[in-house]
Amino acid sequence: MKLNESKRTSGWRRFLKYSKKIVGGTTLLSALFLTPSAVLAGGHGLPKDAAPTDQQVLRVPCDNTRNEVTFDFAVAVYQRYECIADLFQDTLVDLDKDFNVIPASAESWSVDASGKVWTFKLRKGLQWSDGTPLTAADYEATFRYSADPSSAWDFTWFYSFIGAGGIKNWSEVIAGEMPTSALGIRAVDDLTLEVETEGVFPPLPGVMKFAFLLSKKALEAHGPYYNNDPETSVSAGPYMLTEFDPGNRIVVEANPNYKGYRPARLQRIEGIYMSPATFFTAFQQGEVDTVPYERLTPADFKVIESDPVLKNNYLRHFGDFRTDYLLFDTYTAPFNDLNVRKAFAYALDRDAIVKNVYGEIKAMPAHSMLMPGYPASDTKDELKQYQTFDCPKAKKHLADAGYPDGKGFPAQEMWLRGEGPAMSAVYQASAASIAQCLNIKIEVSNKDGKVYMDALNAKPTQLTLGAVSYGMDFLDPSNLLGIWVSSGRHSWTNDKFDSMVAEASNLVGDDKKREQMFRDAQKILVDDVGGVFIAHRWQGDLFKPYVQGDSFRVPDSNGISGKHWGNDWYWGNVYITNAK
Amino acid sequence: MLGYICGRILALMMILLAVSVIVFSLMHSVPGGPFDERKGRLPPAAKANILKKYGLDQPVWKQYINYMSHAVRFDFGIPYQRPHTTVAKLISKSWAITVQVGLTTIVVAFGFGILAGVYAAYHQNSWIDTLVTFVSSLGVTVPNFVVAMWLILVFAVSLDWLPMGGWGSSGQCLIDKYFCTDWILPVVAYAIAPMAIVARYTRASIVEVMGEDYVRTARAKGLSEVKVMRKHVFRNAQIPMVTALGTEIPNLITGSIFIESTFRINGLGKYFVTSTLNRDYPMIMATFLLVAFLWGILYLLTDIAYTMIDPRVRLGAKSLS
Amino acid sequence: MSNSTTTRRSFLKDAIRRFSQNRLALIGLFLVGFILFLALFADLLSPFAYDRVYFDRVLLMPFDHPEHPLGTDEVGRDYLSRLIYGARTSMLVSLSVQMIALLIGLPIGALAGYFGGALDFVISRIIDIMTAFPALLFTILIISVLGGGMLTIIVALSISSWIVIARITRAQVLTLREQEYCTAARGIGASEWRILFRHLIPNAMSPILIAVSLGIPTAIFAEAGLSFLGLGVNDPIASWGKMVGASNAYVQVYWHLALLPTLAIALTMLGFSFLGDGLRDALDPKQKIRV
Repeated sequence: MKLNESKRTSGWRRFLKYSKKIVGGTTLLSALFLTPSAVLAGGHGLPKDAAPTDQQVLRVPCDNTRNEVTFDFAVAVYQRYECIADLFQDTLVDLDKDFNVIPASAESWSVDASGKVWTFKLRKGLQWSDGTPLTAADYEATFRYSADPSSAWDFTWFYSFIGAGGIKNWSEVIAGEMPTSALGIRAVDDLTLEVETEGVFPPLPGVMKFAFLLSKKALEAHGPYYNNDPETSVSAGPYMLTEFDPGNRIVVEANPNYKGYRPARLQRIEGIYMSPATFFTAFQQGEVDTVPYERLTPADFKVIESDPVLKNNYLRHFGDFRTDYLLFDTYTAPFNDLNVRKAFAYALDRDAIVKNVYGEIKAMPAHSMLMPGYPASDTKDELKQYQTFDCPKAKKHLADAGYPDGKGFPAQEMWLRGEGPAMSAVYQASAASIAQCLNIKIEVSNKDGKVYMDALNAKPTQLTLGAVSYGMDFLDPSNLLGIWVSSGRHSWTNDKFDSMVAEASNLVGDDKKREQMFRDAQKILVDDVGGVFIAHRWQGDLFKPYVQGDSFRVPDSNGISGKHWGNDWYWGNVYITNAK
Repeated sequence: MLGYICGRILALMMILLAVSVIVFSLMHSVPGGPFDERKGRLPPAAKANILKKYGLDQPVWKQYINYMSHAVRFDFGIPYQRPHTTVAKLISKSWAITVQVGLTTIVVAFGFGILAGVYAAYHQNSWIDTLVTFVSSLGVTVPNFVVAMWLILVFAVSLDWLPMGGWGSSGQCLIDKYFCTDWILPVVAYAIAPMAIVARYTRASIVEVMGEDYVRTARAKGLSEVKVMRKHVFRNAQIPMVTALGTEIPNLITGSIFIESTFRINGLGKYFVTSTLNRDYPMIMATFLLVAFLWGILYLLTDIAYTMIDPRVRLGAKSLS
Repeated sequence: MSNSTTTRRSFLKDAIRRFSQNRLALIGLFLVGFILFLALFADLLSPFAYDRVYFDRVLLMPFDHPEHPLGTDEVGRDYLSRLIYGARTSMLVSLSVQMIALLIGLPIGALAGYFGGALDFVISRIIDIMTAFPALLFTILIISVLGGGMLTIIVALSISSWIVIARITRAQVLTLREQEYCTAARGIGASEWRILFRHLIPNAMSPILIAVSLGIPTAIFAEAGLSFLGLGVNDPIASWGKMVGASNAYVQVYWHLALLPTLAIALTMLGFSFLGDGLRDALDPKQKIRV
């Protein structure tokens, strides 16, 4: 009893389908009822093997346990309708498979002699789905909305966090000390947008990957949540909202008025809400066409690895270069002692955990923060000597710290940040590995995410020992190493590390030197054991074989295919083949 | 009677007030708030802005008074999780689903439960009676999340007969979007425990009544079995059944966190979990108040039902229900 | 006095006789005894420590490996050992909860029932308020405030459990205090406290004991449910509910991860409810139907 067909079509459309069958698909009925979808807006440049445009439907699973309030990055980054987000606008720039910055809604960009004022030229003819032209004023209005203290944007930290790369006057504006008009974002004319930064920051164009926009007109008329209703929603992206029932179903269809760089091949994307534990089963039952790796359990991977079709359609990639690690409060005993931290770093059997608990399809052992492949990462295993599994050495360090054979070492409680079963198993295994090697007691407590972050962020921190992961926000070492500086979220200080990261972040002109400085900084991080690095995650997505597109089927220069982080052009590239 | 009911309603109001104070102070003492600090600490200005947006910059007692002054006018605020709607709308929407689940479950549980109980009682000590006793013990003892999981594994995954989850979205329904194939598993998983309880209650009370003198007398008088059962046994067995109803119904119509999260049903129970995780204060408050209110009202209705089926019971005679 | 002792003794004899004739009750007694045995001697009985990890033996199926007859879990721990230790967690939580509930509920209920008046009014209203809280939601809220761990769970569950005991005690004392032997005791000048503790509470004990024995499976259920939702005891402590919850992600292939703890929970609950029913039938033969 397969219910797929009827499951997907609902209401009067289903009725029509049957009536069409009955009357032999006369155009009369479609003309009467189906006027909106009679002209199909999708199907741009479909390859030969593609299914007809009306069958270009991608069904994606959505997590019904997430807290989601908006489609728009500019409204709330961490509470977006994750499975369908960012389709109603284009950002200024996009990334290619090798993470090079490529034009998106900006056609070109340049920086002035001071290195602080960037000019972005918008593509001509861009417009919103209601026909309103898209101008630089929309971008200006979006940034001003996001920075406005009353919007309480959850991403405001970012432009303060990147220091020199921050938008001019950002911190003052979000604090309410300056009006939003003082922001270093200016619409010079309809097609020219100026971005002024606090200092010199070469990676800025890449940061404009986050320049998602809102419609100035809709924002003023209906407020920031205008996209949460098909009536008021306007789109300057390849798709537009047609059905909105979050927690149940969200449907978007190709935007007929789209003039941007990634016109849709798909006719429709359906987001179907379900419990994350059931994504894979739904995939197997043919209810959805793709599953992201976070929702695949170890049991699912076992099934995938033993099935050639599934295995060939699980496409593994760097994702956001996420690293799982243990962190300490290095300001108080026992972790203020470098010997104790070193003991932990050497007691962790990374290879065994990756091989048996993660599964090699999901991770590689980590000896440092930056995943090989990320700029300035340790690709030659030079840092392996500082953080690797060597139990006798670990025991010696612990003895040197005054706890021979673990005697007298206080029992520890290691906190997790609301982890699911798979990651919870990994961190439990990590704790067990350390505890068994050093003969100490470590309990693992899986905390609610907010409780965890509250304790971690407190100054002084209330988190003695914890496990967590971090993935990049943008592709520059200043991001993933920047979180380790003493003003960041970790309770670890190394003055040399701080000054090196600060200096390298703002260095212009000498890319080689800049990279070497980051490499040296990372060496300090692993040697002084700011954290114990467990593994870098391989991310990936499972696709149905009939879901195709060069954007994720053709490998990058490292030979890695898959839906790469930040590759928003994917949404204009993915299509359904007639093999379905 | 009327005075008694008014008194009970007044007491209920006081209870709701107490519940609101306790829940409000408890939920505000949980760390975190409706902001996200996953990446690190928010700049103080940004955090202050968020707190101000939700009115959390004021002292807790002031927030409470503020909340309650709106709540008495049935304005329960805006849920942080769904800023484009109101708590009242979100609750009525999700509760409607929970009630559908609950009512269907009640019908199934009480229908089959009473049937099994009566049958077992009538055929006391037969193998069917033993079976009913055993199965109902099992039904009470196996947690419903466990039952749910096995039902999914068998009927959705292995046999592929029924959808794994959802509510009214399978496309195969008896009436419009009601009584669909995806109703079956959640209702069965949910109904097993109350069904077992009802069967046990029914059996026990009928067995007891059948042993009473007046039933024996009726039998001796030559009344037909059906008539004895209908006129004497069922009538008197109603009271314990109402007791069972009274305690099970509030449970069933306020939803099960386990059933709703396992079968991806967007009911009240699911929202309680997400509200707690996201510190959605308006939703947490509203959920607690609604559930407490329903319990109070249903207890009252149960007591009224007692007087209707058993004239010996006088309301107000017991000081504690 | 001696008269009352003999009646009590013969009552006890009767109860034991009734209990030993009840086959289900005996099965319950056996199951509970077995679980308690496992819980008490977990260290001696289990082949491995509950937290011993073998990285090369992750996710073994039952009988895959001679040393692990019931397989291993997702971290490489012996599943049989964890099941045995799980009995200890379940017993520890549920017995502590009922003990605390008894210690709080019994005196409060007795005082309210015996002295009545303003004290009774206040206590009854507190009971009313506590009854109005949806138990599971309230427990979850308390756990979020207190921060998790075994102690927190015990505290949180006790908070909602003492109500039942208090209410039953109160009702019992209320009916018993007007009975002849109380009036008689009062007549010969016994103090109020003496009457309460020497006469009323011992006579009220049967329904209270029944409530406690039926409260144990409720607490086991609650611990399992909370652990299932991820609010349970810390790792690596073994808990059946947590094992079921964690198995969610593995069950399609590694069915034993879900099946075995499920069976353990079911058998324990079955044992306690048979035992509880049996106790009720034995101690309280007149009132067969009672929650």
